[in-house]
Amino acid sequence: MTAGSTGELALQLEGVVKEWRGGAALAGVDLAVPRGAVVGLVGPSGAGKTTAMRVGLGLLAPDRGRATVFGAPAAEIARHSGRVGLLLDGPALERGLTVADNLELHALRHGRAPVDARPLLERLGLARLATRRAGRLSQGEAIRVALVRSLLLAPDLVVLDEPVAHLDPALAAVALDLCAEAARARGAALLVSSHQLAELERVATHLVLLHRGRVLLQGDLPTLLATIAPALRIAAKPLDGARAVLQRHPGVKRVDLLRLDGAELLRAELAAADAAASVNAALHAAAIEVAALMPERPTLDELFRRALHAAAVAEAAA
Amino acid sequence: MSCLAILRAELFRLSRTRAGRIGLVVPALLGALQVVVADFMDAAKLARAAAESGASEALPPSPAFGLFADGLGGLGAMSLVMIALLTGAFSIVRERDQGSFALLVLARSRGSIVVGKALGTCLYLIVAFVALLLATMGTAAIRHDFTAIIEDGYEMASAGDQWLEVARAVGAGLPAILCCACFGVLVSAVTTGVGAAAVGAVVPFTLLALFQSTLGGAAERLFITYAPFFSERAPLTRLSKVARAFSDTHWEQGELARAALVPGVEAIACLALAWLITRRRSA
Repeated sequence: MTAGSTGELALQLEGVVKEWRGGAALAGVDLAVPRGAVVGLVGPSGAGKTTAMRVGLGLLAPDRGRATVFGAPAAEIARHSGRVGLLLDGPALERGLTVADNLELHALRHGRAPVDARPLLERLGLARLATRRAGRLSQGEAIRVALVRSLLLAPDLVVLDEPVAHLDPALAAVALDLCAEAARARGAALLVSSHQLAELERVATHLVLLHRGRVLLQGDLPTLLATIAPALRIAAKPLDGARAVLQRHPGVKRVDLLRLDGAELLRAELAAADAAASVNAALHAAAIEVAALMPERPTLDELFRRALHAAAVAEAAA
Repeated sequence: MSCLAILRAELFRLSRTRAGRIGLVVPALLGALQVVVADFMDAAKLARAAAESGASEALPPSPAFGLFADGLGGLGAMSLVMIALLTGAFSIVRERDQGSFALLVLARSRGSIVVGKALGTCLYLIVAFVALLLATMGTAAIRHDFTAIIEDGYEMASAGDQWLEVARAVGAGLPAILCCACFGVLVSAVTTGVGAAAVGAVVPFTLLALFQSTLGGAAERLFITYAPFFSERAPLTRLSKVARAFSDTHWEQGELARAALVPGVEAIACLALAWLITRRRSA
């Protein structure tokens, strides 16, 4: 990853191969998490996201390749005690302890004095649950407590595996914002895996897309999104006439018919973003009644689907 | 020492959870209960003897040492052995089960985790043992005094001698209980689930304890022999007879040293093995 934030890498995988009996979980993965970056790690289920995180943190030894944390071998991660926050394999709370005791236990394990967790608990709506036993929390509450724990010691690297899977959309947004803010405030790095791409897109500065143990895409998110060709969604009458005009227009690469909520629209993929005005003019010139002409914003979801489609096509061709 | 953080965290966890608090109290309660029952039996026995001999005066009460030793080496100590095995057996595998072992690995090296967990469990057991000691001592002192044993006007053992025997038995008997915890930690490092860890620690231990007499001389080299769990050779079990100054009971040459040394060496071996296994397994 070249578009780093501070240059220093918080976590790095170089040519990492990890094989299970069923095949390769990671097949030569190169991945970098610069300090100050919020890296979204995405991919279909079974792509190797959690395995990549485990290897990156030294929890799992790679069969080949190298994993480093703050420049030191990941296997010696305990040297950075307190500098890495983690949410992996669910909340991992002591069920017999209260929320406050769970957080104190975390600080003690890192040899730290108890930390005031109230501001973080309040942000995630957990302040009233501080004295409740973890075993009596709902799954969503437990995940939020685990998020607080991962940020508690002001770590320089936070690794979160599916942190918002059990949260409602509003809480998921608050939780991811909190993590991203905490990371940005101190120039820390945040590596987040999630299937909730819209939420991730709001906070991520960088993206790594894994598929079948390989990196399909990697880079800073705006640059990757810019690779998606600009497009327009057009509601027009008559639709066939509009389609014919668009297909003849030199600034249009491709025209598709979309059906959204029972209405038929045209989707015109443009050669360049500034072709929109001439497309509009051509439709008017052909006496086509244009009810709506909306530029399509490239999204992470679109990027994800396109990359997987391209991979599937390449695999089929091979 | 990086294991101190794990040790402190372990003590914190054990002192704050309900199960941890129950584990501290149960041996003391059982020990005290056993003293009360033994006292009742002794009183009944004395009353029967007095009635059979037709003595008009009540026999003098026996010193508290015997009752105290009954409680210290009986059910309370047996429950403490079970608590040691299970606390050790759950120490690592429970973290794996609930997914928090990865968090531990980020905090401290695996060696420190094993040693910290074992030391934390041992300190917890020492506190539970002290509670047992005080509970049995206090219960025995309610109706009896810790005085010399006198038979037919002859002092068989002074109170000072008796306290010394108690101290020797405690010093020689405690290492075996602590070794049970270290054996549990080893089982915890090997197994993959809490249930398997409990069975893996308790079943082999109980079988060896029950059939140790069949092991002959080899039993002397097993910590199980010195744990107060169906073992006549455990110092805490034998204290019951020693404290009553039975003529046929005395510590044999080197017996107490062996009772302290064998569990000590085996505890270190268990922890070394646990560390090796934990180092090789993924978190």
